[in-house]
Amino acid sequence: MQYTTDARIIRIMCTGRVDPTMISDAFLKGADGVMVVGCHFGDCHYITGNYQGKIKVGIAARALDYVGLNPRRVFFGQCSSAEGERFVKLVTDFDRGIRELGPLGTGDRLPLPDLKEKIAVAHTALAKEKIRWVVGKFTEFTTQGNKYGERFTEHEMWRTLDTIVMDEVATHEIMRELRRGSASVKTLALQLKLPSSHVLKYVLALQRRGFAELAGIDGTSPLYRVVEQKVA
Amino acid sequence: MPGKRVIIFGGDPAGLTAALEQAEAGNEVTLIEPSPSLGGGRISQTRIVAEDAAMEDPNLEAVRLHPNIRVVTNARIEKVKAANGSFQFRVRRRTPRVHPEKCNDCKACIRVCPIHMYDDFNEGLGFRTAIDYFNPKTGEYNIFKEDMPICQATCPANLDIRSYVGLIADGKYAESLAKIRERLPFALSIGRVCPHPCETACNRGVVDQPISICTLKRFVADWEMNNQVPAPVEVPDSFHKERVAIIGAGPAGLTCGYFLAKAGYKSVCFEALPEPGGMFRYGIPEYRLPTPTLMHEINWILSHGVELRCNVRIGRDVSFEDLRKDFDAVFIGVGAHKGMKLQIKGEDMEGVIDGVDFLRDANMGKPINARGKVIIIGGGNVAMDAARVSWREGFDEVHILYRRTKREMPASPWEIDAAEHEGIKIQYLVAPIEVLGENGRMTGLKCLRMQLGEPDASGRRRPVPIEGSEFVVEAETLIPAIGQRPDLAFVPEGSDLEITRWSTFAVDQETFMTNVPGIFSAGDVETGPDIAIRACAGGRKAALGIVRYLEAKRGSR
Amino acid sequence: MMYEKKGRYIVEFQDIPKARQHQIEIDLEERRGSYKEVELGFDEERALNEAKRCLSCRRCLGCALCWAECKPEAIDFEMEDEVFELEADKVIVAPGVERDMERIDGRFGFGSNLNIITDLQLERMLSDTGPSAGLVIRPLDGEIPRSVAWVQSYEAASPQMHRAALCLAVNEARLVRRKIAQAEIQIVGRDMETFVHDHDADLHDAERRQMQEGVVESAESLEDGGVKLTIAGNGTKEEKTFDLVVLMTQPRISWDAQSLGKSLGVTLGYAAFLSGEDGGLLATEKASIQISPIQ
Repeated sequence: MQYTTDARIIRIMCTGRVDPTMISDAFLKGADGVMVVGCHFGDCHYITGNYQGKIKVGIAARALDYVGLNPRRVFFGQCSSAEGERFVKLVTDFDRGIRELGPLGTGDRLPLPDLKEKIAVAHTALAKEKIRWVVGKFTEFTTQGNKYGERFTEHEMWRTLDTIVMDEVATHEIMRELRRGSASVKTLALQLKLPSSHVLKYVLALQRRGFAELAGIDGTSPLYRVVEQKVA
Repeated sequence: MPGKRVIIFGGDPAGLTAALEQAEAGNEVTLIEPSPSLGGGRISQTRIVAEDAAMEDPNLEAVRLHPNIRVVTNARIEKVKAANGSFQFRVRRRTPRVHPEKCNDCKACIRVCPIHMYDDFNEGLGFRTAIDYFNPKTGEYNIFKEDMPICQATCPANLDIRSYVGLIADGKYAESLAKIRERLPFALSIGRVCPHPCETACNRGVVDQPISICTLKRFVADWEMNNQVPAPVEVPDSFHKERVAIIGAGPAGLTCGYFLAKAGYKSVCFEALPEPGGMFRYGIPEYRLPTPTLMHEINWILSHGVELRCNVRIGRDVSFEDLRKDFDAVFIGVGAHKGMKLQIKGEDMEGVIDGVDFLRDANMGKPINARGKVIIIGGGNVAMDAARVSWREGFDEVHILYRRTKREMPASPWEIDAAEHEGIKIQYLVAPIEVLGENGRMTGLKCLRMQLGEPDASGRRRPVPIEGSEFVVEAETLIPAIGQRPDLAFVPEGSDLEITRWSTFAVDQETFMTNVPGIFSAGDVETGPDIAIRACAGGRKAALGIVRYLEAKRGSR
Repeated sequence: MMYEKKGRYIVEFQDIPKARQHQIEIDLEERRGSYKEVELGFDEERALNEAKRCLSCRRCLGCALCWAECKPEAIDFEMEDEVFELEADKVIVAPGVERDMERIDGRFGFGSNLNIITDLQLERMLSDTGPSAGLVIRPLDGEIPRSVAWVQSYEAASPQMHRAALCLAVNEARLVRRKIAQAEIQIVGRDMETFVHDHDADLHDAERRQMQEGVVESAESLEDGGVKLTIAGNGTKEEKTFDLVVLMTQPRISWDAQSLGKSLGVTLGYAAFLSGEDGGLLATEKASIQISPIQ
């Protein structure tokens, strides 16, 4: 049995151990595709580890898709330790798919280096508490329910996460730009290629929550800057 | 003299001023404000003010500190009763889910809240988070948790749409259908005929087009039927000994029987017509809801423990009083099957048949003399159904006359489109004034052209006749479809049942019990002509009301 | 709440279908003379596509992240609604106002150009507690407008209502002028002469010149986000461009207040609650109920 020598194998105890940031990090460090392969559902030594794994890989894939990565570069697969042939087939198929796309930045919605900048933003968003917390609640919400006892469908969890991903990516992107210097909504929108009305809403939301503030007014443009956070 | 008890609704500047005045006069004031916090400054709209005074509201602090004033925010009135010169209110204060005395306004919560949402206080400029302060000046935090999503709140039966649509997206069709059946047994039928107010309310409609909620409901129901998946019948192991009589095997009656069975009560459903279904069977044309599909659903409902007796008309075959004696509770869901009259000359001539009667005859397969031209009067869904049935029956020409314009038409737009697509001609701004005929047989209709005048009480512009615009349309058949009323002939004379001026029963909106204990009612006979899902919703609530009534009766014995 | 419907964008993902799916229908020829079912519903593919379009609208997730972060432990998910009975000898209703946004005519461009806002939205923006912390900015790009026009967007249902809307506009214009000294300001509406005459003592000369008799026929969006208004008045037509356009809207009584009035047995009409002068309370047919006009 043989498979491509381009694959780098990283062993982990369980797909549930995968953190979404591991996947974004791999792309930042030069990978052209990431596949996570673990046990079949029902075979998990930790009972629900592979379900968690699927969700964690899923959120990374969705966040990266949102910022412009071709979703075919992330793959979640299942195969038992007795299915050597299946493993080879999974790797070979995935490898063929990545070769068709070419290196990172080709076959994606953005070219390099813009794509890597955006992946870095997604990486920050995935590392922050909001997405992490809601992803952690995924199985609890779809099986037992939330604080109000309401059960979510999987569709609903994903739609909710989609919206959070969108908000978080925009917010962290804006914060990154503001850290480079104060800016107006208009210039932020140009730099980030986002509709200016969206940028405005996020900037105002940042101001409301004490992350950004008015730095001054340049002609007809209000300028905003980051509020230095006190370390508690 | 002790102070009066004064209630003020609304914490706007006028309300605040009034509160202070009343409190100063020694009265005991309660100020009820619907939003989560008293408002900030407001710009005056009654006078022109100097810039400095424009945004200020000096009363706000005074009101908050006054010992005679109690402020209740985030509250609304649930019930009002006036008696003996005083008023009684039931007030519900929505929970903020944040203890104001513990909160130190550190903003930690709003920094982590993952949900950005529409900011009501700021008229949608900017976002708020699900937990947030409403007005930064007061620092009162609250968690905004909706009672229901807008689709569910709009649905008369409050179906959990978010869940059952999500379950379809997850590919879990049986679970989705089970979700629907928690509140509605008629997924197959309602999924075909509902004018879906939920879709009109759907948030996605603001952005592009609403979700096809109704057709999705139909999809899961069809999926079960077409794939021969056995529909689950879940009833308790043993039934209670009390029995309930249901008058009318329509959407309301059968829904009531279904939920009674689920709660462990057997019922007997009396139907005057030869087959069950009510308006589903005799009002909705076959091309919208085929009888085999309807019967598939009804048979499943009956299998829960509802006994059906057709061709039994209460008041003719069985007396209403006997029912009351033989059963522990009675549910009336006889619908509204009596067509309204046009009130014009010649209306009793041969060739004139009411819309509801016409649809019933067509649905029963009675031969219809479909010759020449037919005129349908009215702009509702019954008129559209009558027109589309006429066209199928083979009339040469089908015309609908409506006295206002398409804009004011109450029929669902897609029904109007479908009728036009099938070649039915709709003439707007025309009203009938006399049926013309020879030897008691109709030959034509004299009409008048109208124009739109000022808006009336319903908000629609009132049609006014154009003088001298009379014209005659030759036609052999006329179908008025201008509304229906319940037929309450079965109610014995001198009965103490309270009947409204629209010939409907007045019921308690929580229990659906009439003024006579043990007699319940829902559906068109309670609401007046309305959509089927409202009848189903009423039938379910009445079933819950009946269960509570029977339990209380058993407890008191 | 009133604006439940608006305010979110739809996240664009490739796997979420955009277009609403349509039912399968039988042909016209098959329908005549037959009662065959016309609409055939969805096949599985259409159903899945359609279900995936659902936005799963929800406000609070009940995820308790705020609860985990709240140091003083002020958040309590179990806190219930409070229901209580109240008795009163006297009832005063101060219903406040809502704005009839649904009925704003399409020709004013509300909704299609974000720089066309309502007077209530501007009021929030003028407030220090508002969304922009007191800055008057264009919702499209956050820029400070150099020219602002107030435009009558309704057919006045009563003279009092029209007067209330114009008062709000004049007051707002004063505050805008205070924040943006160089701003070019214009208020366009009907019956301006009467208004100026009635409020002559309160108006400055410059303000009288801002009041323009006319009707806005159309509002065209320009590339820079500005709005070109076509104004007809006094037999002439002119075109003028503004950075920000504020629609004067018609106050209406909220549905809640109306249903409360109904259960109290009084009719709340616009005119009834607007005709009181300067915040005086208005007595109705029932002596113990008072209706207060808007402030």
